[in-house]
Amino acid sequence: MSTAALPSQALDALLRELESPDGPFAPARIAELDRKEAFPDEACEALNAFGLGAHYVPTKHGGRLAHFPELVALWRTVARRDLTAAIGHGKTFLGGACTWVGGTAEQAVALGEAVSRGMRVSWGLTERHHGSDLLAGELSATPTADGWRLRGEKWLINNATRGELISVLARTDPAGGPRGFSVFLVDKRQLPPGAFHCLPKERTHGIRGADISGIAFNDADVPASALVGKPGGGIELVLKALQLTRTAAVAMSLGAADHALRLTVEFAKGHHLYERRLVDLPRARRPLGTAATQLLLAEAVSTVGSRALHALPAEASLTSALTKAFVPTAINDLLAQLADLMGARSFLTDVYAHGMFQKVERDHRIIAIFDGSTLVNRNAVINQFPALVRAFRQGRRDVAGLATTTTLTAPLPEPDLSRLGLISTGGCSVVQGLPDALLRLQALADRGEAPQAVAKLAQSLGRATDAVHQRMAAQPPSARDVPPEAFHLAEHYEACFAGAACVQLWLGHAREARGPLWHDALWLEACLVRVLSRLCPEEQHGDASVFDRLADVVVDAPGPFSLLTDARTEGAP
Amino acid sequence: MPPIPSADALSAWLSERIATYVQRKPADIRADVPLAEYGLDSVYALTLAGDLEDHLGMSLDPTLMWDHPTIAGLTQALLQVMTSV
Repeated sequence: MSTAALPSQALDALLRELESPDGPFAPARIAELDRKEAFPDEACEALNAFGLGAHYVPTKHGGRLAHFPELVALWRTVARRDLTAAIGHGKTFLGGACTWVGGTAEQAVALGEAVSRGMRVSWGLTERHHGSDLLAGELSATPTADGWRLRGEKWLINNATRGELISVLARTDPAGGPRGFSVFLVDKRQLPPGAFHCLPKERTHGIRGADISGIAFNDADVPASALVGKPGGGIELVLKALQLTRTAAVAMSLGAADHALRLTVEFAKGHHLYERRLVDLPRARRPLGTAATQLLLAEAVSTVGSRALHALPAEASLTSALTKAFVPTAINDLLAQLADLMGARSFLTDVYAHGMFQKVERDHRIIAIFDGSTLVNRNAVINQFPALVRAFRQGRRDVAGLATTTTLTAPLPEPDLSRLGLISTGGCSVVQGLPDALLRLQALADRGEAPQAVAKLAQSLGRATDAVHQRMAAQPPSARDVPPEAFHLAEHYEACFAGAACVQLWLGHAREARGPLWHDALWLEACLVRVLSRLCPEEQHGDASVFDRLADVVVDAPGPFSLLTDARTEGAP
Repeated sequence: MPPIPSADALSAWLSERIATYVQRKPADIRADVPLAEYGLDSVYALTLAGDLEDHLGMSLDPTLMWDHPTIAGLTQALLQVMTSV
C-alpha cells in the first residue's frame, strides 16, 4: 500500500484546511462551541462529507473498514483537533459494532449502507441506577405477535437524542442472568410518536458540546428483524463488540496527547525565562521527554492491540481490556506532566491558544470512563489471571499471529469476528512471547546490532514479568470480591504487556526503520526505562538522560510526534 | 486425549473447583442449584472453562457455563460434548 493512499492522511490534509479561521475546526470556533455547550454540527458535517462513516463499516458489509489500525489513525486525526467532534462522530462505530459481530449479512449490509450515508447510530447499554453492571439492566423487551415490545430507559448515552438508530441491550428474560438479555437495533424514525422520548442532555465537565443524554421507550413495538443475534445472546454479543470498540477508542487518547504535546512544545518554544527559551531549559526537557515516552508507550500498545484484532482475535478479550486500561491512564499522566510545564497557560481559557489545553485536559477525562472504565477493564484481566499464569509458564503462544501482530510491515488478514471469545484460554501471546523476544534482542546486542544497554533493560523487564506472574499465581480466586491488590497487580501486568509490545515491535522493524526515534533504539530505551520505573520503582533503571535525548526529537519533530512516522507499515498509519 | 471421566467424578471435580472459587466447602455446593446463588459472578464463571480445558484436555466454548448454570446440567453437557467428538 502506498502511504499516499492512506485515508488518515487524506483526512489530515482536509482538516488542515478546515482549521483556517473561518473553518469548522478553527480553534476559536471549537472554543466557542465548548463555552456554549453546543454540538459541533459543522465539524461533523465535514467529516460526513469526507465519508468517515464508511470507515466504520467492515469491507465485507460494503464499507471501507479494512484495518483497525487505520480506524485508530482516522479517529486520532480528528481527536487531535477536537475530542468533542471525534467522540460525537465516532459513536456511530460503537452503535454498529453489535451488528458487525452478530448480525445477519442482510442486517449488516443495510446498516452499513445507512452508516456510509452518514446516519448516526448510538449504543444504549447503561441505565440510571446500574452503571457498568449490564446484568442489572431493567429495560425490557417482550415478544409480540410479530416482534418485540420495548419498555424502559437507557441513560448517559452518547447521541441518544441525535442518533437516528440505536442498538439497545434489553432484558428478554425477567429472571435476567447471562442468557437473559438480547440486543435490538432500533430505528427511531420508524417508531410512532409517543413510543419513545429522549431525555435531556446532561451537562458535563468535558466534551461539553456532546449529546450525552438518554432515551425512554414507552411500549415501543419493533419488528422481529430488529433482533441482532440470538435471543438471550445479548450479553455475549455486547462483550464481544466491546472488544472492538475498546481497542479502537484509545485513538481518542492518542489524539488528545498529540494535541497537548503540540500546544506545550509551541508554548515552550515561544516562552522565555532567564533570557532563554523555556524549551531549552533542562528542567523543561526532562518532563517533556518523560511525557513523550508516555505517548510512545500508548502508541505501541494501541498498535499491537488494534493489529491483534486481525491476527490474534481469540485473545481480544485480554488485548482490548489491557489496551483500554493502559492507554487512557498513560495519557492522563502525560496531560498532568505537560500541565506542569504549561503552568498557568494550562488553566486559562483565553490567554493561550484559545484555552485549548484546558479543554483537552477536561475532554480527555471521559476516555478512561466510557466504554468500560479502567476498573472494569482491570477486572476483566484479573478474571483471567489463572489462564495467564498457566499459559506463561507453559510458554504457550500463537507464534504466527504474534509475528503478524508485532511486525508493522506484515499484511493484516481480514478480522474474523467469529473468533472473538469471552475469555482467552490461551492467555496473551504478546506477554508470553517476551522470553523468546529477549533471546533475540540479546543475540542482536551480542552482534553489535542493538545497544547492550537496551538489551540489559529488556532483561530487567523479563525478570519483572516473571515476578508479576508469581504474584498473580499467589492471588486467591476473586469470584466474589476483588481485593485491591489484584487491581494493583493488573496494573503491573499492563506495564508488562506494554513493555513486551515495545520490545517485539522494535525487533520486528528495527532493520527497516529510519529516523531519530529508531536510531540506537532510542524510543525503546525510553519506554523500557519508563515501564521499569513503574514495575520496580525502588530500583534505578538505565540512564534517565534518555528522556532528554528524546525531548530533542520531540522539539524538532516537523509534524505529530510518533514512532510510526518512520515506520513503513502495511495497513496501518 | 485422556479417558472420559464418569459423571460422578466430573461432578465431584466441578464441586471442588467451584467451592474454591466461592470459598466454601465442596459439600456445601449442591448440583442442582444455579452457581450464581453461591455468589459465582457469571463473567468469572467463564474462567472455569480454562480449568476444564486443562482437566479434560480439550477445548470448550466458555459460554457452556452460561447455557448450563448448575453442576448437574454442566456435567451432562460436558459428557455430551466429550462423547460426540
